[in-house]
Amino acid sequence: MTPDTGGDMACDPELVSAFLDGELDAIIVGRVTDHLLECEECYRAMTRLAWVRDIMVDGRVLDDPAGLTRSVMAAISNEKVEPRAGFVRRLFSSDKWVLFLPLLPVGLGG
Amino acid sequence: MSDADLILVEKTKKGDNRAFEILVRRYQGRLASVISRFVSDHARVQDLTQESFIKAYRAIHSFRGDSAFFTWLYRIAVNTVKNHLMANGRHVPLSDVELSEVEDLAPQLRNSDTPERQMLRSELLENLRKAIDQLAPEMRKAIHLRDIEGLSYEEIAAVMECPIGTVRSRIFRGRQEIANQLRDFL
Ligand SMILES: [Zn+2]
Repeated sequence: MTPDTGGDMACDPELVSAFLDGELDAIIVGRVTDHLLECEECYRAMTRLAWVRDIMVDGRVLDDPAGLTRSVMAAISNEKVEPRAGFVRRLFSSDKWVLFLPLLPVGLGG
Repeated sequence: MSDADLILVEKTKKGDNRAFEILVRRYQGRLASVISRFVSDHARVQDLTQESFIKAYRAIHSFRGDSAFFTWLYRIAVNTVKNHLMANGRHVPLSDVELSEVEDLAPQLRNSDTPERQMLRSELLENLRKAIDQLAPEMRKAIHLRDIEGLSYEEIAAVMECPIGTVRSRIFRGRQEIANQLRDFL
């Protein structure tokens, strides 16, 4: 068996195949996904199994699937998705302060 | 929808690009095959697939899980293709094309391929056919029901009168054997 490098789950390429089909039970889907993010071995298994599934469905469309993934990831590497600030943080991080100024206690200014 | 997609989208939203990479890997073949229904030039198909994923990444916060991730991705790809065709002075009523229609796919040769590509493709498909022929009948049937007929594991289990775990295992082992047979093309 391949080494388990991803969290508390052992490598299981059968689950990777089910992952590709969107057929993982709710109870394990989180663990399998986390494992896949961590484990190179299972990531490679996924690319192999995805390739087989794709040619089964449509013959081969992509000459270089790995190359395409690399190009997409290189293109977005400089533009990490920014976590969206919550409502309260947005209030305090923008010029919306101005809107609240009239609400400040009038006694402050003396 | 698959919970795994939702998990990966949420991780992407939080800045985990590796999660997005897995979504790309999972769907790039399927998306390219959708795009190739509208665009014959092979290099252009790859470009438009890439462009669609980049647009999806930039718009990831707008994905709320109301539809399946692939359906959302599909709409982005169709718009990308539309823009491409319009920029080239062509009009194709893409709104008439339903997802179910383009999903109804079967391995076949494309007329638009160059002779060299057609040869490679027919060689691959010939080897694929052999690999499928060599599978144990129950593996072959499970894979056919899944990848060609598009049945869920549960439906396959009902058709084949076996537990879902057995379906999962047959599909996995079948794919594994095909991958081994076709390793020269990988
Ligand atoms: Zn693993």
